[in-house]
Amino acid sequence: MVDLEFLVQSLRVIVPLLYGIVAAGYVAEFYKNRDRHFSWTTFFFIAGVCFHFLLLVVLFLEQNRLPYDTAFRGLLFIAFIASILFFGMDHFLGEIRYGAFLFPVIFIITGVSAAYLNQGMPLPVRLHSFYFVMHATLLFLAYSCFLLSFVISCMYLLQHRQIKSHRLGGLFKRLPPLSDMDESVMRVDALGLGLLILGIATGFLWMEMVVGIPARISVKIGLSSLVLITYLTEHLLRIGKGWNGQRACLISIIGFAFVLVTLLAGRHGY
Amino acid sequence: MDTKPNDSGKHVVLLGMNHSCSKAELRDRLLFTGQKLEAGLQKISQDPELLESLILSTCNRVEMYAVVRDPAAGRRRLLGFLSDFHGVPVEEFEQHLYFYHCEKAAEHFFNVIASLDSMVIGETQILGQVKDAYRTAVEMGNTGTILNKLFHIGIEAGKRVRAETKISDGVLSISSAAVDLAKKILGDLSARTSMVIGAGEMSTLTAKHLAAAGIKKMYFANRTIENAQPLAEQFGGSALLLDEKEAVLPECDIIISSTCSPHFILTPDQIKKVMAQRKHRALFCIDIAAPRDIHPDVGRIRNVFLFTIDDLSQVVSENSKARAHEIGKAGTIIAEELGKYYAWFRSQKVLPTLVSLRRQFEAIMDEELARYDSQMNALPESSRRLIRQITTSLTNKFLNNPSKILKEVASEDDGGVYARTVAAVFDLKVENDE
Repeated sequence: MVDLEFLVQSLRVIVPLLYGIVAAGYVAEFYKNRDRHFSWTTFFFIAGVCFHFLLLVVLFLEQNRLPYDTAFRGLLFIAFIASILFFGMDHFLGEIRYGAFLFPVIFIITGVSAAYLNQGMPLPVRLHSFYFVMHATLLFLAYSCFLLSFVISCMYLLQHRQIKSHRLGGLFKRLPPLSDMDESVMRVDALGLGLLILGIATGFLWMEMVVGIPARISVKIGLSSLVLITYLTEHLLRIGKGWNGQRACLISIIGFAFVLVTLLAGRHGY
Repeated sequence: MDTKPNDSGKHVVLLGMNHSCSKAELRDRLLFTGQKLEAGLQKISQDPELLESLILSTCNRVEMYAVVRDPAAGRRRLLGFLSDFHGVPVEEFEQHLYFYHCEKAAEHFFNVIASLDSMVIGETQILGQVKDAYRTAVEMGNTGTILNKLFHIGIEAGKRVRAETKISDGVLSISSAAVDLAKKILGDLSARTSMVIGAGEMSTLTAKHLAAAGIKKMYFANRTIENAQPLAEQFGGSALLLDEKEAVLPECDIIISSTCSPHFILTPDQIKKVMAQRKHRALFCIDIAAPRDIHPDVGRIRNVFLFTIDDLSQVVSENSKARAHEIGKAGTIIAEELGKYYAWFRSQKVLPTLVSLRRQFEAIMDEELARYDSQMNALPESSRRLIRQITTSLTNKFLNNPSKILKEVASEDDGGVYARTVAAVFDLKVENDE
């Protein structure tokens, strides 16, 4: 019989460690101004994602429920999806330089999450529902998109600042083109927004159909609405007023700040 | 080092002007482009004072290389040729010229080909331009032994500098810096549109780089359609009058302006209107004009990135600084290759002596063979051929070592003394024009 507890204890060290190496690798590639899509960093990245997946599976098996029942476990899941999204962006868009900024964040998230990977409270029966699982999964997927867009937005603002101030140094040479980053932010935020809307909708369905009470305002719902309004505003202003580039990235960063608050501080009232 | 004393009295001279001592407008009047180069080479070759000649004409320099007997006379000839050929009075450009001869001319040429004399140190175009200039001069029959050797060794030096140093790593010219910047702002340029306002040298160069980067569409706006049309044809774009520019500005992602207008061609109000029409998609503006064509406040508009020629020059200069330490390495290579050229050039001092010496030995050989002609005729053909081979081989062996040593000592300052001694000892009649 596999000792799940031992596996969890091992993996909570291995996963951040691997992401730390991956972060160092991508930062080194970024510093050397190289776009190598297959290197030893890729190997550690694949290993990191595999062990990360294993950790999520073990956490699921350990408690027989989805491994995002606490904020830190949720962050662990978000980091996993963000890594997968990065892989997709690298594979389909050929943009590997986001790794130098994304993986240090993922390293910190997995490190902190692993440190506070305490066991969650037993879930109430009403949370063992398909709608709730869908609701939580969709929201975490949306938050993963917002994490990625937050990182790219920061990179955009850095590059924008370099170009506007005519300081065309090393960072300017290494960061991707503004239009590419703006487009990435738009795409990832659009995906995140769609998932967020679906997540909130399934949440309402869950409340109506499982809990049996109509949705009422709680801190969590209030904060989630704020996240929704922020990203919706970003998209509407992009389409209607041409708020792309710097302004869109600023809104995206504010949106992610709300995501973090929602995730760490927000509580449903039931 | 002395490369001047050559028993045949030949000197390499160079007369020219470059970006550091003349304005582009003046150089443009003295350029040898296309057919002009061939016509120029043909005309210069008719001058009996200029034994060999070559013209190097690029955007940043016009240089004429020649082999002459008298450097001062050579200078006068080249100056007169340049003035006559282009119909520009000498007094209008003489003060912008530089003139080098002998080792200074060779040294300058090696610096040119190594791109150490270029506006952007390390640029790679000059090597190809020198090769083209040399090829044309060879095809026209303008070069001879001395310029051939100078250019062969020079081209080798240029290749070595680029291969053995990092002088060309990340090199940027102002126009390529502008295109790199455009890529950093707009990403892939293949779906972008640009407008070139005015028809200055720099905007043409930038247009050339943009075309090479695969830009989708180009507009060329000018006060007169006649000036815009050739550029539009050259780059496959559309020509339009300056007044018509506002109609197409909203679809342009890059604007390059270089007119001679005394007032602003593009104002913040105009650009704000354009930006509203293009839903604030990023716009990259390059102002190459002096005085400026684009109002500085345009750069403050959201998603507008305005760069002037000074901004771009700064980018290029910072880029050059990073490669500055490679200049020393390039200098070492140039010194080595110059050494080879100098040694060869000096060895030419003894060449007439060596030729005379060989002729004398061959004459003796023929004389001796003729003396035994009757006995030789009695021998079979194969034996006669063998005897001739043996005598030729003996002559070569007798001459091999003295020739080698004479060439070696010729590279020293008193090489001429050795040549004269050999000539005296063997009673040689040295012909200088061999």
